[in-house]
Amino acid sequence: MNDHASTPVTTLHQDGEGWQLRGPLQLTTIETLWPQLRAQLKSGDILDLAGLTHCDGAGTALLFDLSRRGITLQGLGEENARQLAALQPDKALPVMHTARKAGPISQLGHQVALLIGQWRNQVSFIGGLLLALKNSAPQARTLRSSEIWRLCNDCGTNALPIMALISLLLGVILAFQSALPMRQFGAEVFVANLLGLSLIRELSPLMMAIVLAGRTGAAYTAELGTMKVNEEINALLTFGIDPLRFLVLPRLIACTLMAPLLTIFAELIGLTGGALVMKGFGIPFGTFMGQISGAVDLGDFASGMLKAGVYGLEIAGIGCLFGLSAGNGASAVGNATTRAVVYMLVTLVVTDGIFAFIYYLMGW
Amino acid sequence: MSIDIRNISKRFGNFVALDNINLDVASGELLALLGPSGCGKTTLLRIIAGLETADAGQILFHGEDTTAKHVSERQVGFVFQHYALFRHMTVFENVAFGLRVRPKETRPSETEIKRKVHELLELVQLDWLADRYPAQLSGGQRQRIALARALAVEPKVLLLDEPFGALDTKVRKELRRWLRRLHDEVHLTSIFVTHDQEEALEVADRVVVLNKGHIEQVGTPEEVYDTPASPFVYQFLGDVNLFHSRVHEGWAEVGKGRIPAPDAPDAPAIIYVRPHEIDLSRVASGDALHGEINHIRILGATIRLEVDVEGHDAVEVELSRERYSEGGWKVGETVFLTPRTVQVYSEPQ
Repeated sequence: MNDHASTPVTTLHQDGEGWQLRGPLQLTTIETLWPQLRAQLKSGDILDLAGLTHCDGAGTALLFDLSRRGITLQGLGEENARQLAALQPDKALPVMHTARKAGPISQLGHQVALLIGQWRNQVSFIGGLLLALKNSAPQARTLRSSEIWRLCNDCGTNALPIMALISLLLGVILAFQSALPMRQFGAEVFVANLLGLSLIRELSPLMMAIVLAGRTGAAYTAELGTMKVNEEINALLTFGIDPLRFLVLPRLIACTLMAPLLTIFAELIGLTGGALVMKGFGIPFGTFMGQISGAVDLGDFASGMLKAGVYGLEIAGIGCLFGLSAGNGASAVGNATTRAVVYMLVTLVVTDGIFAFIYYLMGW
Repeated sequence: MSIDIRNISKRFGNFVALDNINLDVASGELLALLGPSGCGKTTLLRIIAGLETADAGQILFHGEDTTAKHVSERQVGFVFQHYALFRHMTVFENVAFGLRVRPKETRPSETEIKRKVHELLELVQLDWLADRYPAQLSGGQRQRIALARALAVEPKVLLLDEPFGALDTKVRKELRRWLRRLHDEVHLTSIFVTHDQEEALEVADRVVVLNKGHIEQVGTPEEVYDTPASPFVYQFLGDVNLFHSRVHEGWAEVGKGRIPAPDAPDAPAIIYVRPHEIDLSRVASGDALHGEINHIRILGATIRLEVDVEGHDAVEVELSRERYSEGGWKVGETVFLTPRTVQVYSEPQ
């Protein structure tokens, strides 16, 4: 085999009807030859290759291209012919199906389909839960009470320190910030009314719910998501156990029970913080208490508790739903948890709005 | 209990996972579903268990249609690839779990549960680990506990999804033999999924080779290994050298030699030869392929030689250690190859 790398002498000749190619056909020579051949040769032309001295892989690729263009190749050496035959130039190339970017309408359709799928998932989850509840109601003792107590301890008792910190700060800041402008009118004493109403009706349940979502809701998603990824959920299924009843129901019960209790705790701590600030503004505890009991009635308290219960239910439900519908793989749990927390927060705000609307309509 | 799988099909979007699968599993049999990843073997197992629903077809347990039955009613024991043990329970609790959660009428007494769990832990030879947590066990131990847990509920069928897939080679080999012995003791209809052909051939009574959602071959380990029904089965059940050639009057020319292909029609063909079924020699015989030794790799008990054959990819030849040292083969030597057994398949047009 000759090495013509330094002096490429491959040439194309026209010879009556046909064409001739002489010299080596290799990587260094085909660069200029390829466009030339493409421009001059037409489908149906005959190219004589008897004058080839050498043909490497790149040259075979060129011959393959020419052959695909309908040019008849003649006089190819035995070895080169076999190389070319291995590429099967007479067979159609497999057509690659590349995904085309969907148009706006199909994208819209895709999004709607996703959304409907999510809704269906949620509806069937709620349905399944109600069924599980109905089945366990007559035999409430079969619900694992020790498990429920453990969960209550987790989402209730263990949340007290963080709940105390946040509520105290909330009470202090709220009292201080509202006392400053009120003092200009000599109305510091009404800060107690403001604090009492806003904490008990609105802020304590909401802050409690946000802490619960971040602490417990996310943990539920991660816990059930990990069980799902590890196939523990499937293992439960093969033992004939309904994960909704076994895993979700105790969590729902624990969260719904603990949320109002945590809220009461948050309210007490928040008011204490406020009272301390007011003390600094020269208002004694007794007066503060008197103002609050005048401004807040049992209805306000009850409406706060109702909200807290519903928040607890929502957080546990969303946490478990996202955990159980986590995909497979290590990143699925993280994804599910992030999505669950966002979903919880949005749901909380929307629910709060709905409550405000209902309370306004009812005149509570 | 026997299992009949009838016309099972399953798609995921455009991907056909299972294409009209028909299979009968005899009572008390240990069956292996063997295939490369993505061939549908795990999907089939999960459909049998009821963890996945088929798009079409029926699953019959002992002649009774269970297609519409929920997984919790099928009484299957399922062993997962990654054990799926309950992490917050001890080994004992894990094995006892399936019994403890039964409804009161069918739940055995506490002493009965204790006896049964210890019996099972003895069966899997891990009685001394009862008080440990799964995180404190090795992979092989965990998988044996998972098996004990699956057996505790006295399932009618035992399904194992790549049970030894996450374990190292040595433990895997031990557990294979152990599984075989266990099966001979309990005689439960068992199906296990694997992508390891050695595992399937060693353990199973019958092997089902799956590829791209359909069954390539069903047979005893000897049948599938000695008389593979398709090129895929031949290739999948061990290393092969593959030659593209054209059969002409009962001979296929490869390089400067030729290989006998007595029954094949005159057409382009693919010829398969297993690396350990090739003889090496320094003396040219009429039909032998000749080439040059390019590489020698020592793989423990066997030696693998890579031989460059003209006009062909490198051919692998496997020799036992004795035959290798008898021959005294060196890199760069010219050798002649004679295949002892070949399998010729006509090339699809």
